[in-house]
Amino acid sequence: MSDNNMVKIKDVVKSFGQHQAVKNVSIDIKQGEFLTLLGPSGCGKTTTLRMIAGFESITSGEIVIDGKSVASQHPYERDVNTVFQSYALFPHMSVEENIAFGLKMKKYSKAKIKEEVERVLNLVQLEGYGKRKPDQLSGGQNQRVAIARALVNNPKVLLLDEPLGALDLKLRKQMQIELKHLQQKLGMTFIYVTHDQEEALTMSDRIAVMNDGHLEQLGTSREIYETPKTKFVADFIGETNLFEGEVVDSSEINAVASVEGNQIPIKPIDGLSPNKDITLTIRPELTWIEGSEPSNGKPSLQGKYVENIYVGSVQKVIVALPSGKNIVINESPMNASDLSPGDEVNVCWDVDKAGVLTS
Amino acid sequence: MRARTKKVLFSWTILVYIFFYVPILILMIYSFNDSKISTSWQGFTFDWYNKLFSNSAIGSAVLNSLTVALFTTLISLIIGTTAAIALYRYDFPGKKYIDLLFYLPIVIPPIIIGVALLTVYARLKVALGIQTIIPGHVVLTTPFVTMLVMSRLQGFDHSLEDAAKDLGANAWNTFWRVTLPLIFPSILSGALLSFTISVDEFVVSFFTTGPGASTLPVMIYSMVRTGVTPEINALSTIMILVTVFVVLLAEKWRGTLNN
Repeated sequence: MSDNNMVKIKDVVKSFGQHQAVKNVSIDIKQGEFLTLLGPSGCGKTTTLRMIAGFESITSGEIVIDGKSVASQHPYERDVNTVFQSYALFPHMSVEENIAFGLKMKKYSKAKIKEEVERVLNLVQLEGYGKRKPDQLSGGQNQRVAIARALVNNPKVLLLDEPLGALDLKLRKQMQIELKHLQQKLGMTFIYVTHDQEEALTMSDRIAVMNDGHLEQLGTSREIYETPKTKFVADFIGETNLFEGEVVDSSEINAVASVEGNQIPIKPIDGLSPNKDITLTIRPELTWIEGSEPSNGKPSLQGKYVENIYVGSVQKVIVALPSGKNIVINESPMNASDLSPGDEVNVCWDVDKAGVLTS
Repeated sequence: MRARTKKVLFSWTILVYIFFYVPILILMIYSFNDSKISTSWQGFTFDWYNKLFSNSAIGSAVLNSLTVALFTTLISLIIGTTAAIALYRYDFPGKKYIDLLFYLPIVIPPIIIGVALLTVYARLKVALGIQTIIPGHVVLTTPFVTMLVMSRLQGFDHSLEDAAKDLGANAWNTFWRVTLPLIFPSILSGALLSFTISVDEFVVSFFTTGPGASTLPVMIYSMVRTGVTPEINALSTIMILVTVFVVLLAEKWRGTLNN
């Protein structure tokens, strides 16, 4: 392994009849990395994972695991293991037998199997549960068994297909942290599939955002959230306000666009030229409200206060722009609002905090 | 529910059960009747059962029935189970109709299956005997095995076979260690169902058996042509009790294996 990449996905295409489920996806995944495939249902993330596992054939392109092209290998010949969304625990076997299954197939000695099963039961904090059947355990415990059953084989890559989807919110958050710690402790490469953007942001070293079969953006959680490259990514990850606009003037150090009928300073990114269409993405938590237009030249939009929605950690202030479009501003719930519907307000932000998208 | 409605529904339920079981019950009672004609009660006796057990023709008919049922069960289990796995696993254009063709024998009148087989045997000049009954019975029982195994397969998680392969099991190990243990309860119910269908089957047996080789139902038919004797009542009683016992056993096994 010369380039430190454990898995290389190269121009992979998967077609089911006329339908292309995965379109020319290329991702290099480093040894020890936690990579998440994130996207809405039907975006091709699970199909991509199943191609790595070997359950689906590749229509064209190549998948390389640890330096070897795996196209011709059966799932049972690949050095990867999967944690299934449904857990897929064998109902007729005890927890121990489930975990031992992979080692039995590799013809390990009885003593070695016993030792390894103990080790992973310990790892997932299920000591003493070995004799139980899966239907005698809770969802969270079965989840741990599924992870243990995969980990015991010491795979080069662990594939996880929405493994926490069936758990309740609190348990899910706890398991997210546990999984992340487990992955760091083992130094194992994890490829994780989810449609939950918060889960992806919490756990991943890098996130591959997929939409409609293609890769929208690949980057760290911070890059994906703070500098989305496409409208889809900006909209899918977190909450944002999107505004269509047109560049009026641009130079190396500043740029101005016409947005909602106002001339607004925007971040001068590469490739801007007058008359170019852009999309401005403004996160609710990076905006604030002022009574009068800011004098320091910060961008702002004028509108009428509509309402205030309290959601616990923040309150969402809704302001209607003259065009009728609403803009959402997150404020601390500590700020008691003395605005009443119809009041004129200015929504402000810092120039470099609003993303400029050209695609 | 109003009291009157309750009463009406209760009476209706009783009537349905009477309709189902009273004739059979009467038949069973008369098997202990100390009289040659089944019209009036003349006292309790085991005579007819004694007579039955000393009748060697009936003994060989029982043996024939069991032999046919055993082979029918084995063959329909193999065909039915493998077919269910294939129909479950593969999808292709027109599969709906292929599925349907597999279940069609359930609604085809047995008399047609019997006559059709007889025609084929005649054409191929196959000598008739109890062995020629078996193919007809296999046609009748296999769809039930397929249905039972299929519903079991559909009831469990699709990813289980994937999981086995993911953990290093090849196709052979996946089948023996995961698929077969999971569908085993349905194979067992399929076996018991096939066995009872075959033992009780008359029409196909009647058409496809050879001279002198009778199964139990065929034997009973030839006996009643000269009138229903208490001996037949006794024989029928035994058949009913054995069938009920097997069905109860099947239900019990199914229960314990599912848990």
